[in-house]
Amino acid sequence: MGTDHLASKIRAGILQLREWMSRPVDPAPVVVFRVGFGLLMLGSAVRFLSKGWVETQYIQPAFHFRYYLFQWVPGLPGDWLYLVFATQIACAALIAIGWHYRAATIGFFLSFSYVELIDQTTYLNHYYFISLVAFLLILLPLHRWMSLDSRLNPRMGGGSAPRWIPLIFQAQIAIVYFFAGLAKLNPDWLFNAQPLSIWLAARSGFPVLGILFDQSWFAYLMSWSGAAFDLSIPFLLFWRRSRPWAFLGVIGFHLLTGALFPIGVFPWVMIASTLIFFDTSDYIRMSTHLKVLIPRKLLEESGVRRAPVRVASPVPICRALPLVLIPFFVFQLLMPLRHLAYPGEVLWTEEGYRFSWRVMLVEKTGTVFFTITDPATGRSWDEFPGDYLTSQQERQLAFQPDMILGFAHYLRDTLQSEGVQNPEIRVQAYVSLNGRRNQPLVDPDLDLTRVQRSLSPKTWVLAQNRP
Amino acid sequence: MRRFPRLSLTVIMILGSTVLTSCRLGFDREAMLGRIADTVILPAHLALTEEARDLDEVTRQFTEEPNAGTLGTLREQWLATELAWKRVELYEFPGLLLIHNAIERRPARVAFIEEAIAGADDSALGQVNGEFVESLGSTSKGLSAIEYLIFPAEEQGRPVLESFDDPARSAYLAALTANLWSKTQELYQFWNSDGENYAESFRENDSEGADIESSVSLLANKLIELHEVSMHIKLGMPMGQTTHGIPQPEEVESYLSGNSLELMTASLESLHRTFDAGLDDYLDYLDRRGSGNLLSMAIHTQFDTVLGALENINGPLQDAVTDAPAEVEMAYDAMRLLLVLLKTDMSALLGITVTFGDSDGD
Repeated sequence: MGTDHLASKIRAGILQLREWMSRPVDPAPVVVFRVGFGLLMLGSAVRFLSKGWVETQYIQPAFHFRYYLFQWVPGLPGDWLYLVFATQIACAALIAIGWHYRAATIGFFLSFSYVELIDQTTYLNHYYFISLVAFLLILLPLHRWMSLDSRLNPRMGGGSAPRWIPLIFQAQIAIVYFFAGLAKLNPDWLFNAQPLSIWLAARSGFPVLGILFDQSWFAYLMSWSGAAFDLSIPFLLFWRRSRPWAFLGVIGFHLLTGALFPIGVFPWVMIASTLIFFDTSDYIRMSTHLKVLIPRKLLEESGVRRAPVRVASPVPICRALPLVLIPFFVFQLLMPLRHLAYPGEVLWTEEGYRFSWRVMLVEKTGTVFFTITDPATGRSWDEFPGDYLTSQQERQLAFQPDMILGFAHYLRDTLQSEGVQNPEIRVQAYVSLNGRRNQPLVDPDLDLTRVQRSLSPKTWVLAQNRP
Repeated sequence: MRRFPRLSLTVIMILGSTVLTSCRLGFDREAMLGRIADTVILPAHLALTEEARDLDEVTRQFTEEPNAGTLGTLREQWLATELAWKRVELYEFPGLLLIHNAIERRPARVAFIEEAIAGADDSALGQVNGEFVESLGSTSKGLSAIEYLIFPAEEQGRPVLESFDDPARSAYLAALTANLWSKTQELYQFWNSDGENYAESFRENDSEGADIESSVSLLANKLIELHEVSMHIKLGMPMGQTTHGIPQPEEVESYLSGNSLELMTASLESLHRTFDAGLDDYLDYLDRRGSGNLLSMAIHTQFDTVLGALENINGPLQDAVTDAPAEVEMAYDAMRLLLVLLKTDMSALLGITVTFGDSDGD
């Protein structure tokens, strides 16, 4: 009897949730999100080009560190990569104006993700975030509202949006913040205020606030409030009453980190993305408060000022969509937790480190030597990564075990082509994590040519001994 | 309403006291940089100009009267200038690469030098002067080109003294030393307060945030870079690190003069002196929450170990890499440990990796 009662309650709950999810909402925030994303991606690609990074990060390196399972990703000869960036720029512009939206989103997702897959060196969490959002854009028809597509095809557009469309993006953003906050709940962050202590002390020349940066209590304050911010911000943005304050917090937090650290467009991407948590009434209120910022006409055109919408106009969606979206989000809930399947401290071993929203968690430096022994001649010598890699690649290589292994295999192949038939390659990597004295990262006695790349725990990575 | 002024007064008092305590507790990076500039950088640059002036002087004596005596003096003075340069080489800050290269760039391009001398026939000798040298590429001038002209290259069977019977060769040598002297003066003026006063910018360039590369970061990275060059290029290459372990004696820094070890020692001493002039105190300040074994002490000790190991190598480096590989290996290993302390531990405490970048981070 009790279980029956419970089952019916659950059923009622699910029905209620379904009803709530399909409730009509005004599409303005969705439009703002699409346009904002398109424009920021456009600006970001132009910025990347203008800094000359296509050349220094993708064309100059003789060797690229491919991701495990993505070794098949082909490189492009010479200047062809510029064409990929041109595609990114064109697609981003099309997304912003909503013209040929489907093709543009697919084109953007592929061209952006391709570039990211070329080299592990350039991995950044916010690039991963952009790839995920671009993937969602392909699936969801954000061009139904205020787009050139809907202008040109009157049958398509207008009306309200179902609640679940903004909800999906809100969920995506919530995952980023929440896991970023969860990752901060580690002893170094909470009890040593690291790496913020180091980074703040190095910037004590910062205007006004800089005088506090040398103070250890300030580093603790920033660490703890940063963790609290990340963990709570999705909920505070979701709850209508706290939303304006939460958004002010988002602006303040990201502008400060943007002023302190070289994180490029990331602050702007996050500030623009969180606008999806607002609804149209928030926009109207804001535009009244701020007088001009949001053109009234824009809102009116989106249908806001007409009669309040009661029914969601049917958005034709492929029935298989949940079959894609549910695994997509389940994957994202598990991926940041995969480090639990590995022994040791993830900040040290980096097993399960990437694609997990571990942002600004470590100050890591390293020096790595690759010692070669040629059994045929008995000679032994050091190969210098700097002779083969860019300084950016070398810096990342020094403390990331999978890159060390990848480079050892590249060295093996290079040496074999130079006539050293069976080189033995041993590595001494001395790494400092969050201001600690250096410790060896990998087993210096093991010949890495005998180690295969895999996802299983790297037994040759030495345990960290915390002082 | 009435409480507002009192509240703001409290805020001002709290802020004010924070400012005061911060100033007292914080480390004065500007003072440290000023000390490094005043006690190490400027004197080293001044000393270089004096040695270069003397080199130009003894070169004139030699070209007027080429004999074994004047040649010996010239060689000695060349070495003194080269050693003075090793105390300056470290401070290659943005914008200084060209002038540094004009003073020393290795290896010298022998073919270019001979071509330049052959091109200057008797009628054009008057034009072989400082201006002429100015127009040459950096591998045809500076300390390395002078070394090529005045030290013996036995395998080419070219006795040095006789080679200066050629007036074009004499003129070229004199033009090189004249140009070198003027370059060292130019470099000194770049740092000096009478000139462009870069020492002042060096002192004031503090880290303020994401974009600005601070002097501490520049200096520390130069220190690491130059030490890595010493270890990998100047010692490692002759040992055979880039040639599958087969020694390459001719790859030593100063093969013709046979003074490679002296130059490397001077270079390391200069790094040590720079570190000792203030970076070590800054590390101690940053290390104050550490375990008690100060990083600066470990670095000082390791500098001494490296210098001791270099001293332990007998004879010119080009001979030692094949005749006494164990001693060379020992110096190399000591240099590796020093590199780890500088590149891993010092960088970590200074927090310079996030400012020193050509890309975004997250």
